Amino acid sequence: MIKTFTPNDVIRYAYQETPEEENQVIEQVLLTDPEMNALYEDVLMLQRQMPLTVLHPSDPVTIRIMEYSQHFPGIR
Amino acid sequence: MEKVLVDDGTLISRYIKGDEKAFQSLVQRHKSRVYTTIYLIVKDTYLAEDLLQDSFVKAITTIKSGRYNEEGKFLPWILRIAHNLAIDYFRRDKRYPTIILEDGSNVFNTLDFSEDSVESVQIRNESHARLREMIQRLPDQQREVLMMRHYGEMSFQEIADATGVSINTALGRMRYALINLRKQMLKYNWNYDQNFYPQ
Repeated sequence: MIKTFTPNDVIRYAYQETPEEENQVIEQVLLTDPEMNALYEDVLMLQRQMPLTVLHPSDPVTIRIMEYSQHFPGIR
Repeated sequence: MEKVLVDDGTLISRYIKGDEKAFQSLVQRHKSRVYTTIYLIVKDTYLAEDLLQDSFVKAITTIKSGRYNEEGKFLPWILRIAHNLAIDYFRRDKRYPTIILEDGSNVFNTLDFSEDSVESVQIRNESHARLREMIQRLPDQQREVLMMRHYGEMSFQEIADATGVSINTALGRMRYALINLRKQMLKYNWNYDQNFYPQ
């Protein structure tokens, strides 16, 4: 049976969640279908950009969390 | 000598046995992604820090009470705690009306942010801050999948299991997140690959 590939398959492929046997067929789809290729490119760009969106909390809040842990009784 | 990265599961085991330094490593490793997850929902740095603290307090209480059973999947677990606390904050505080549109999105997500703080105006000048704003405007379910996949390093099957939907629904939400981000980029005439291919 011939499997029809969907945008969901392209997303799984972009996140390396497809089995090896599917990869070659999806790569062919990406070469021939501009819409699927555009979706794939969007995922790749998001993967590059997302690490840059990470923000960092202040040191005082980190210290408060650790102090809370130190004063919380452990498992007996 | 090269440092060997100790996995989260091992750090949790050490923490349960009383090793506070193990917990410090967990906090240092994950605090920024947890904080960003909250910030993208609440859009306020002070509130995000309060909820970050609440998230870790909940984690500490659960782990030290012997009720933690996530088998080493600490990051997805605490991201879920943080996400739920941030969403609960809005529901409890009723700061925004909950009106669901035909496509299942919350009307809040379609509103422009007219009361931006001085701080948010400053960070908007940075291109990655623009992407954060676009993510903030996504419907809750789409934003949640995006953050779990990228910050939580969860597979789509794990996201589906954690959120109680099928893998196709989780993938569909991711697809709509991508479509909505693309729409916003066109609307604001912004191309998010410009950072990588500077003119």
